[in-house]
Amino acid sequence: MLEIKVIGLGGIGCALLPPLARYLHYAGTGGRLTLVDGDAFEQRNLPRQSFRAAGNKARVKAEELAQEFTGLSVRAIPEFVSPANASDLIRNGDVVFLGVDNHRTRKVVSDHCERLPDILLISGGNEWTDGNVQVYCRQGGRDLSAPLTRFHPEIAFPGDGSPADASCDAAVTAGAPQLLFMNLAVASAMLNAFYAWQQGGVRYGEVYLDILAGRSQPVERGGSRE
Amino acid sequence: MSEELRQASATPSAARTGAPVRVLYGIHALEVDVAGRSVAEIRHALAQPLNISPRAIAVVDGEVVAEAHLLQAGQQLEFVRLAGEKGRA
Repeated sequence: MLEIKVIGLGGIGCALLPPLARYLHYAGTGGRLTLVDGDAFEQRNLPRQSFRAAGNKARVKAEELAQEFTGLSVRAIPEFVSPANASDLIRNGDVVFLGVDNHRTRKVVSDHCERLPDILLISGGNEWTDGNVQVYCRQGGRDLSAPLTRFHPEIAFPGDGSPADASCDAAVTAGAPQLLFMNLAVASAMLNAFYAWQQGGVRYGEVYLDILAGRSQPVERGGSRE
Repeated sequence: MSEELRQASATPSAARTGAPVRVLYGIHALEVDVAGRSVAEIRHALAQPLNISPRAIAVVDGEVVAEAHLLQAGQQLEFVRLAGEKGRA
């Protein structure tokens, strides 16, 4: 059974989940969806995020999806990812969608995935009208593409805080405003990468997007497909 | 083409083989005749037109290279655009 973890239920996660859940439900491939986020939904999130109730984002969204897609197994983990819980949250063979707003969490997740023999990690991030998606795939203990940190020193040596670190919370939440359409574009690119992987392989390790230019650019990121 | 890039493309004839160098930055992809030039020269030429971050590392054919690295015809040079941070400036 496909184990899918969606980490971070902000603008990207909220855009990604409805089509992902619908796909898993109707594609007949089976799968279990685990939603991971320690944050609570607030009214200020409304312009870009859809939640039917107040409360922990993972719990509220899991309940919504379970009601809509009754045959789909959905569970919630109301925690932020940290080095302490990464090995419990992310297991060998998982497919991980990562839509967080800080490089420190990206590093924690990528570093952990490097220690697993088989993993697909799809990470998305954006600014106002541009963004990128990184695809880290390991198979049989071998990198088919580069981890998030290899070509991105800003992730390898993050200068920001993690929401798992309470002292850094203010810095993380003080981000600039975002555009709903850009979140949607990144979420779509993440799902496209997942589908390509299901179809036999992702031919790129990263894809850049710019919605004003109307362009995307895939780039290979190391590893070889044999 | 910017004046800086035009000058950088004036590659010494000894370095020319006919194949251009593919230069990437984010969504941008250029085919330019810059074989024989260094990464630093290309970065300088394209920094303004492509808005290349000074923090963007240089990767040639999948390997991180130093600024002094000389490009060969047919290679691909990427200045790796910093990852989007979802809301961070």
